[in-house]
Amino acid sequence: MSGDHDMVKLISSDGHTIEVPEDIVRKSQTLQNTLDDLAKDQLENGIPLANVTHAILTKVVEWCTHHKDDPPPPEDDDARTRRTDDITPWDADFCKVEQTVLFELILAANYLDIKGLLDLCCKTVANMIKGKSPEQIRQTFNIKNDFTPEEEEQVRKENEWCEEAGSTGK
Amino acid sequence: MASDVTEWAARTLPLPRLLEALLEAVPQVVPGGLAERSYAEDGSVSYTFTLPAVDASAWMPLPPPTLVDLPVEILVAIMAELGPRDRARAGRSCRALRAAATGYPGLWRVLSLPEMINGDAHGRPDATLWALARSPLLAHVRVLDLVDLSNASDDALAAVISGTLVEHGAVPSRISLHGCDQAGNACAAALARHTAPDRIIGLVLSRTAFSDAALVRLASAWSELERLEAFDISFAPRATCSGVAALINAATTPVLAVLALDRIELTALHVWQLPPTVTSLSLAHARLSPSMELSECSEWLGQMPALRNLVVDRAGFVDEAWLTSFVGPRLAPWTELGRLSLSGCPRLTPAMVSTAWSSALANEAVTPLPALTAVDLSRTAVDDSDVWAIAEAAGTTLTSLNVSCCTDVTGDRSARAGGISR
Repeated sequence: MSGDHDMVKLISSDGHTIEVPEDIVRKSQTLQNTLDDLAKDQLENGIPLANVTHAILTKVVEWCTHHKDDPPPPEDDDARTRRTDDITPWDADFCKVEQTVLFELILAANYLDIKGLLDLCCKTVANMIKGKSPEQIRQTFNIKNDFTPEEEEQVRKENEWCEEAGSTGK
Repeated sequence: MASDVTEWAARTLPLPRLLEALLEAVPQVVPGGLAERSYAEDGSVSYTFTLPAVDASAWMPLPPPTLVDLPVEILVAIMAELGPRDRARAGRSCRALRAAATGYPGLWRVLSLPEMINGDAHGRPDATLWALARSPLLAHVRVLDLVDLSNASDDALAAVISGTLVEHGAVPSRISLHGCDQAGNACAAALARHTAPDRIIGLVLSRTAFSDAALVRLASAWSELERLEAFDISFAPRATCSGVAALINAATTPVLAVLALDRIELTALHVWQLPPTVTSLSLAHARLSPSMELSECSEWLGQMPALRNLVVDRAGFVDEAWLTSFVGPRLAPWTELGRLSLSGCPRLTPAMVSTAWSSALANEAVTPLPALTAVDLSRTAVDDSDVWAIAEAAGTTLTSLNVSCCTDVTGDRSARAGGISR
């Protein structure tokens, strides 16, 4: 903890230290628990974040700062209506990054337990999947088709109903 | 080199499990690299990593994460944002996404099926359901949620149920056909083929065409409903209490806690004893059969001492006499009831509530409904005196009294009841 009681030092995995206002830091459930569990003098040297690089941590802090006044996300996930078209323009711009950055953001949001950011990133990836064929999904995400021919046939059968449904209206 | 790595590990990987991971990874990713774990006499653990002095270009660089490198719970979360068709297509792209799309039971609740089937994209819900009935995906179903498929036929819905329960051997713990207007005898026959009815926790048949005969058929096929905790058959116009009783009584040691019978005709209650485990009962819009006495209904309810939540909104049988018997000494053992909703009851006229409560209070031997915390009298004709009477009778336990849309509740006296929602 710095001399300013409202600032918290965060140390990225690549050794950079950034100071972040405590209310921003508390957007992360993981860090909130850390702040609550440790005495102030134990925080003097900063909180090491072994899984988050400086570049990603900076992005995370940027998102948390923009959303610092948001209400906490609802707990009951199953009850909410699933939709991916409710991303705000600011969030959409925030997620216009290379795929590797997006995935590292997901891992960081998961590690730091920032539900809003994790939801946003998952929705962004889901939007990248929507409307694509399996081959297009492979191309988009540079995924190798690792099915054996037998598995591929099994998967095709599993999902036949979806494709039949799609073709009935044409 | 070894000390450098150890120092690096100590600085950046504070968690023992990460050191354990490194222990496994170093020999694999560093050509000639060694990793060793040793134990000191005092029980402490130390790790030694030995890396050969090689050109850094010989190291196998860690690739940046890709979609399939994400933890499975993240992939599941992404899949959950997709509808069934996109999820299915993603599952066809590679093993990791297939596992995420199919391995997590909750995803195959078929949650988005109504949107997909009832949408104007194709308009042939039965064709999709028949195709779905053949899909091995149904083997993953743990919650069969075929809600709001109002355009689907009884036979097509039955095919999916049968495909799930019989052909693919799934054992869903919750089954809902809510809003499937045409679901009836064929669906009942398909459900009757469930080989493990004792695994069912929740069954929702509200707004379906299930009849008494269909319920009786289920009851005879399901000799065990030992885990059924919630049953809802509200707004099923062809069902009555008789069919419901037959099904509920199929359990020998029932655990039923939540029962919804909205707009179901209440008949022959004297021969039907609800399980004592019921804590929540909804009888909104319910009506008594012409042959039933009002007191029979009150006595029937009085047999449920564990009841904590009772909803009789818009029920035609609720009047002063019923209310008096309800809150009166007859129900003295009814000590658990915390929430009572009488919203929109047409026969609750001014002063009836206060008369009922005053009548109950006149008997000093009992405290009517001592645990009552919330009363909903919205959209009734209660007036200020009613509100005042209830507030005084309920004492300190009452925290919520809803008199919204009660035009006769106007004065300051009502405000003294505290916690009034208008």
